[in-house]
Amino acid sequence: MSAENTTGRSALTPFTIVAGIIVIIGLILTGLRFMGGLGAVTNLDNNNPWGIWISFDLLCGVALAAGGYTTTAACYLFGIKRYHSAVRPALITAFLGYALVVFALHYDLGRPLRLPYPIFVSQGTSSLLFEVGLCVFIYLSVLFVEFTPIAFEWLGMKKLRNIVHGWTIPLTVMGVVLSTMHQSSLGALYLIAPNKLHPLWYSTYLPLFFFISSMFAGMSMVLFESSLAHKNFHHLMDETHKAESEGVALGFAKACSWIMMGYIGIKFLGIALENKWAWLGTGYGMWFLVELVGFVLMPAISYAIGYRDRNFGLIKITALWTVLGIVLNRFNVSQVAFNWKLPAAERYFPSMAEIGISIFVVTIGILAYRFIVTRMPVFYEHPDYKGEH
Amino acid sequence: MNRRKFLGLVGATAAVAAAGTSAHAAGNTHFTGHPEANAVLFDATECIGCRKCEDACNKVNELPKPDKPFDDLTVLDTKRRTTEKIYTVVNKYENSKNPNLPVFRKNQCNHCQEPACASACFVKAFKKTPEGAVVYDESLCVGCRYCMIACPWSIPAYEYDEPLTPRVMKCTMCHPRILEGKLPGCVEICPKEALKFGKRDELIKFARNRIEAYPDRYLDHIYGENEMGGTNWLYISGVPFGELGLEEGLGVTSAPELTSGALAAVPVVTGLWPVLLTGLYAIHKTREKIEKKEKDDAVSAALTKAASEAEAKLSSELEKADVANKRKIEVEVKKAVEEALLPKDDDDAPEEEA
Amino acid sequence: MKKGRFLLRWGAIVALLVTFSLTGIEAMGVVKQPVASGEQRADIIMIDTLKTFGKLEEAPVAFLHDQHTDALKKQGKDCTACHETEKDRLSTKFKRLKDVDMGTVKETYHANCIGCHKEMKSQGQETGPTDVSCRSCHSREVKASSNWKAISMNKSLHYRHIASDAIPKGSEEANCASCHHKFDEQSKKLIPAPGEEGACSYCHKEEATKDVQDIRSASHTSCVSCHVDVAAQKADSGPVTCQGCHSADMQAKVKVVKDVPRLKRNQPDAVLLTVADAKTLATDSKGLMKPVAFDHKAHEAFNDNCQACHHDAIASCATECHTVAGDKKGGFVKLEQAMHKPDSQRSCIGCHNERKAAKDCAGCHALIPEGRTSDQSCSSCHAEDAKLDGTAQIKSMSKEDKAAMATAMIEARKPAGIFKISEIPEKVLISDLVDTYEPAEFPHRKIVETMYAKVAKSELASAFHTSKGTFCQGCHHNSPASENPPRCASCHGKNFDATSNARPGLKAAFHQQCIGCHTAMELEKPAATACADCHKERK
Repeated sequence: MSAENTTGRSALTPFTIVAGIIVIIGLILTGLRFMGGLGAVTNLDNNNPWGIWISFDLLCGVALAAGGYTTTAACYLFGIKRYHSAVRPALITAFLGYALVVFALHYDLGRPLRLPYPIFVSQGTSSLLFEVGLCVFIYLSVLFVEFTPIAFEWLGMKKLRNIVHGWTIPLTVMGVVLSTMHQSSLGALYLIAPNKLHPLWYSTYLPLFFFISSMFAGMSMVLFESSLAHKNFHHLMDETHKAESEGVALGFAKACSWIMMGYIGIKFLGIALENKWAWLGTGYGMWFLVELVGFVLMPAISYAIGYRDRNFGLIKITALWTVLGIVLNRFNVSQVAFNWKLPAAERYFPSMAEIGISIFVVTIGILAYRFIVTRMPVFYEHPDYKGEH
Repeated sequence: MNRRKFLGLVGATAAVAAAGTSAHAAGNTHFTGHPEANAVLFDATECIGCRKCEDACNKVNELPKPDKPFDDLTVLDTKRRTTEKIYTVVNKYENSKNPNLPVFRKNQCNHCQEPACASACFVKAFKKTPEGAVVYDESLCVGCRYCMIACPWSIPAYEYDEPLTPRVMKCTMCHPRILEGKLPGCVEICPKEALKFGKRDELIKFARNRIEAYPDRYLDHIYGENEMGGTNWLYISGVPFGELGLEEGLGVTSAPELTSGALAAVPVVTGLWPVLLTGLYAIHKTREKIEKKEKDDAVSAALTKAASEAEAKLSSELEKADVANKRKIEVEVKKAVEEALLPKDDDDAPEEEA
Repeated sequence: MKKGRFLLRWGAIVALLVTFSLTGIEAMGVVKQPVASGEQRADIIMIDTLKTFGKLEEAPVAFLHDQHTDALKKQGKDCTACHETEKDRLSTKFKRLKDVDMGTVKETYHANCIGCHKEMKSQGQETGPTDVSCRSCHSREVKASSNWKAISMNKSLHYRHIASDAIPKGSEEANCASCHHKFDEQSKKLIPAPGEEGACSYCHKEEATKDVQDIRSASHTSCVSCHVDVAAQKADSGPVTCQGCHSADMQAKVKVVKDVPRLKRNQPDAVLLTVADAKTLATDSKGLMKPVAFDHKAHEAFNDNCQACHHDAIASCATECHTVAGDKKGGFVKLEQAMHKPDSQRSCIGCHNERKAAKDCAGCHALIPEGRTSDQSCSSCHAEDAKLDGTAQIKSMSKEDKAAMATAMIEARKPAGIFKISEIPEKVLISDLVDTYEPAEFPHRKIVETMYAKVAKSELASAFHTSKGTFCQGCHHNSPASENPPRCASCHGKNFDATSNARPGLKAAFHQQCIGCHTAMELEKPAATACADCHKERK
């Protein structure tokens, strides 16, 4: 509809220049990575085999892409129709999120070409990583299928679009099932290393923590992303979308608030059950409270206030706050509290190149997102399919 | 909705569930080790820190030459770990019993009975052999390094500088040599037999006898007998194992058991969620239908009511109009009659009125 | 206005988070360990006297005794400023002789402590708390850490007291009775008991009884009072402060007399240790364990004081307490255990095991399993004399007979010497395993001679290494002692085999023996890792 408006007029906006530079640097780093091995670009070592490519690209990426299953489930399975206009942006975010996770994994894996091995060659069924891999693989396919109607509408392939559109419900159910499994399994990955993860973060409830936090992570990401979209793509949105977005914001804010409160509850339940109260008095305990109070409890309250006062500005800020909290949590589990017994000199800190690649991956995501939303019916309903859900 | 497709997809999720269940079953059985498994017993009271084992390991496994030769014992002054080029290291520790006499410990893969690395590997690149060794198959490895996260002793190392075919490297217990009936390289060379090779259960018996015979020399504990479900590399020592850099308090739960709970959730999720969600969907769909019907009914009822009310009003209006008309007519008639009865001098007026 | 408040709230939240994070991160590096405060004192007394009247209402008061002694000394005051005297002896209690009731005791402390502090303050002197706030004194926190160490009256210290001019000499009675006494039940008085002296703790236990003070009060009243008196006469006196006796530093500085003359308490030179309890002797007429000749005189020289063995009283162990079957009096420790328990320092074996750990002995003994006894173990101590069997003879023997027999048995224990020097190989070439190294040249004779010299030097070792081959078995073990022991390879195979008696392989057998012995004897050279010092590297 208005693709030409944004991209056609002038290619050299500040955005494209910055993005271009990032992409060029990213490509150079990519070259270095695949020519020289992981050692050439990363600070990873034998004690710290997983760096920010896992912490940020994988753990945060998957958590923040959880908006896909939460929104589709809310809309289609729980019948909250007013979320309908949020479904497509959420789906795009989820699809891109997962695609980028897989993309970024190619950097982190020693032999990326063997990525299909766990699924097609040798199945290590006792591994939680296998569960993650299989679920992500299937879920990415599911998301792709869920995404195709958007592309088909854009391409005008009516028949195919209608066939796929008919699968919405089973696809949504599968999305929830697969997400439940791999979101929780990402936390369960760390169950195998009780001696390496700090007792405050290690818990047999880790899978539950990861799953529950993925719910509000996904919703907050949808809110955060929509606030950005409203800024940048306002002209693309149809009236329904604009009208419904307030309802979506309020609904998600309320849901997040409740879920986050519940999350805090079971976090403390975990501490109580394993009697780890004494740890709260240590430096790590402080940090744990920073994460839990500063980045879960306070945003939860903030969401509640935002909902009560219909304060959309506050909800937007809180969404970002929550997203940062999730990032903090995933980093804490995978980096800060992991290998906590190692002396400071042997701890890991990412190299510039690692950070560069991560930024590169995010930039690619933003570019792909831009490409899709400026061309395909995401923020508006395609005129041919008005009112069909 | 396409029913056949739906069933197909449900089938696919069931496959995931099946995969999960089998893994769980494997993790939930109490495994006490292969009966004929070999093991190595390390006696910290015997080790003199000569690094001969490192040398032998290097030669047997054809690993790259180190920067400093193996007879350079100053290397012991720094704490080292296993790397992709060194499968085993000997470290020196302070002796809390006798400060003048440092103690040493050889570090290498402990060859768990239920290895964390094997349980963590999503392509089964690690395998526990019945002979006791945990071996690695580089032809399957994807290079995810989850094994390194999982290993409680942080043993596996990775070829970070290898761009195309990086491998995870660790002690193999000289598995090929064991199959040939030879001793592991380090055991064979150890001058003081600080490393003893034998069947695991026999070594444990031996170690117990030894601890009993020399109660002052040893702590009453065989490290590795139960740690993390038991290992095929065992340790006895005169000083607490923590002082030898061996983590105490690892517990006796094997790695597969640690994750079996999470894997057990897979069939629950795949079984419960679709049913529950489909149910929820059906409920809300039905509710929607009912609501729609109720709404329709209400609308039609309202319409009927409105119509009848309108009709009633109309008829009453009509009636009222009727009465008014009649009255008017009556009045008119009366008037006409009266006029007609009046004298004829005013003839024009009634004509006009009529 | 509204906007301002909003910003304020956010600012506060952010500031809170930042400070929290910063402290969190800073504290994260190291988990803080409680740091032991620098000062170490031996004079910290926790005043919890009221405990005897029930649960304490307030935390005990940490009282630094020496600090107070010093402060009072500067004012020209002595112990009597705080301690009352009774029969020329200072009471250990503060400003009273008896704990009458809780109120009085409490008042004694409050009035006198605070009173004195106030008085000193009024004189413009540095002093302790003068306020009436409870926590000034009753707080658990003590700034210094305690390095209090118990002191024991060892042989040297005991002798110095005997020899001291401050203690009346002349008659034994006057000398010993200055400290040693016994409690006469009838007269309820302390009377001298010549020939019955024992350790204070035999009567003065941890807890006081109606008639007998606890060991703490008894020793402090006696020792400190005497030291104070002697010091008052400007004579050479013992310490009067806490740390004088109870700090490790001061204890190390105590003068030690090397060759202490034997104590005179009519103790025997040799004792024939037999089963002595009446019950066993009455019932069992045969098959009792043969007696052991015990060299009491020699053991006196090795031990610091009588309590090393006579831990509860100076009496026969077996008569009443450690009977064959065990008795309540002896904590049900049977005679066999009392003599043989390997982990008790009071038992024969336990103490000897400790001696075996000395570096001269450890070379061989560290390699010999301590947890097991061999067939010969019993006869090393229990007489082999076939005539000494059953109770009959022992019962019929007079005390003198027994002593004479014991003396004779002890005399008989002489090292049997070694095999003929000329027949002991001078050098042994260990060439069984020549591989990367040349054969090791083992200076066999030199080592044998060194070992023998060490054995002969030690009375204990001489008493136990009684046959010519005994100490050869340090290396040539597990086969009968012989002039021509079998080669090591006769038993030790190539590799360790957990099933065949768990013998080390030949290579390890050599290395464990040589290196093990050298390490145990703390021989610096050759270092365990200096391979070429023993066998040249093969070119």
